Amino acid sequence: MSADAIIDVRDLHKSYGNLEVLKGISLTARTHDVISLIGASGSGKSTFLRCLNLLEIPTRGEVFVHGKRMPLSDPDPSRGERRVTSERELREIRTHLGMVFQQFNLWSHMTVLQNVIEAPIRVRGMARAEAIERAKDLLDRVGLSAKVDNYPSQLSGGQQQRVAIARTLALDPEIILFDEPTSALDPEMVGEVLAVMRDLASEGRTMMVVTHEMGFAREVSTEVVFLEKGKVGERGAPEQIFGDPQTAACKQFLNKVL
Amino acid sequence: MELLGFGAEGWGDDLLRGAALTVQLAVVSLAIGLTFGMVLALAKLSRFAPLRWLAQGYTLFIRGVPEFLILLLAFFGTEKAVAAGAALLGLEGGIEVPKFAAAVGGLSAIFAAYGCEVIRGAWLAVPNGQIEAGHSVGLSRWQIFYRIRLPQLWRIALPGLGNLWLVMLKDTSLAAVLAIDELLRVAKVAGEVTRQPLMFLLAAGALYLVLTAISDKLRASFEARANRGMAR
Repeated sequence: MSADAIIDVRDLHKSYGNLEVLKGISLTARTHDVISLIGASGSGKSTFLRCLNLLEIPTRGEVFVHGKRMPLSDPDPSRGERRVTSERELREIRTHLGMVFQQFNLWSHMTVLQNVIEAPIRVRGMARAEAIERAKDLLDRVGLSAKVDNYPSQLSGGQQQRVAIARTLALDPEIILFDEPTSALDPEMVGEVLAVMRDLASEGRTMMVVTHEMGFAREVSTEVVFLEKGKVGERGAPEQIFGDPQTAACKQFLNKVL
Repeated sequence: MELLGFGAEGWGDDLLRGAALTVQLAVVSLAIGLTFGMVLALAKLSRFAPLRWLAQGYTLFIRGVPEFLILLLAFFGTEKAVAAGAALLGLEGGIEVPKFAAAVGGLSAIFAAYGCEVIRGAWLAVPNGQIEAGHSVGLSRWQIFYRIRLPQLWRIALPGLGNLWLVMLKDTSLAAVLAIDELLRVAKVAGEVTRQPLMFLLAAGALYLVLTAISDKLRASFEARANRGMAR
């Protein structure tokens, strides 16, 4: 494992009952990497991403964040599910792993500003005034400074997703996990969200993106990983994956979506 | 008409005192019933099966027998229990069970049994994605509960709980059987003494209507507050 790895995933497996969704995936994200995960639906992309911050508990395999093992008990087939061994440690690590969801998942009873300042205040213990000042800067960055006092239901999908990105940035995470961030959006709103993501990539943010936006994956990624049936089918630089895919499955997939 | 007045001859002040006791009964029972209802809802959502069965059995029983009977059980049941306890401790003589406490016990037991289903439904209606978002930024389970789940659960449960409150407010009249001088009992006594039962029953009815009307206003303002930001 290299020293500058932010996330190091080793041989990750995930099963639901007898259905094995992830069949051993290893992956490393280093600082400034933008890794796109592509593949057909059902290939396990989202499940993989959700295993990284333990929203799903992997059945086997380990996740290291900055060389520190995620606090999970050892796999034990006879006892079923693995347990989180330290909630506190897990919460601490999660603040370094931002996540942006397909359905935005903004807290609907809070205003835009409240959504963004919640974690800095409650988790980091930041002073309210400072949290508000920072939140306003972030909302300005995603072009929503006029919507500070609106509620999520008063925003379009694209605006909600940009707020969700600002909420994630508020903790200044070392890597941001994007779980199909534009899949729930009307087509005319995809662009505004991708623009924000491009912006983040260009300032050197480390990102892992599950996406169906092949244009984005091609232009922005440093690495593209094609998942197929719970395994890494092919991986490489975007020019290579999109220009000269090696496996039949990857070729077929790209033919379908491009 | 002077019978409804406030002087020495009038029953007006007695009726108002009765109404006050009715409100006290209902408010205390609401506080306890809500808390217990939340505990029951959590038990029903528990992964631990015996806890679920226990809660199911409880609601099955309470919902299956008359409210009147539950109030009687609350009184005579505790009386027996207290007597047995006193005997065990070697205490002599009768120890009185506070009637007010028994009535509150019965009323809150009923409220909890119905309320827990409303709370359980509201719990499940809070989108799971918002809970996950809370986890993803490192909020603790407790923070997620009271910052994210509870405010939304409250909004969703309010209309249902408001109905149950009205039912309970009126069920306080059952406490008359325990010789508690709540509104209806006062009206009945006044009617017998003055031989004007209809007038006093109508007066009591009017007072109940005033109480329920105020309740409804309060519920509406709570709902308006809880619904801020929600698309209608």
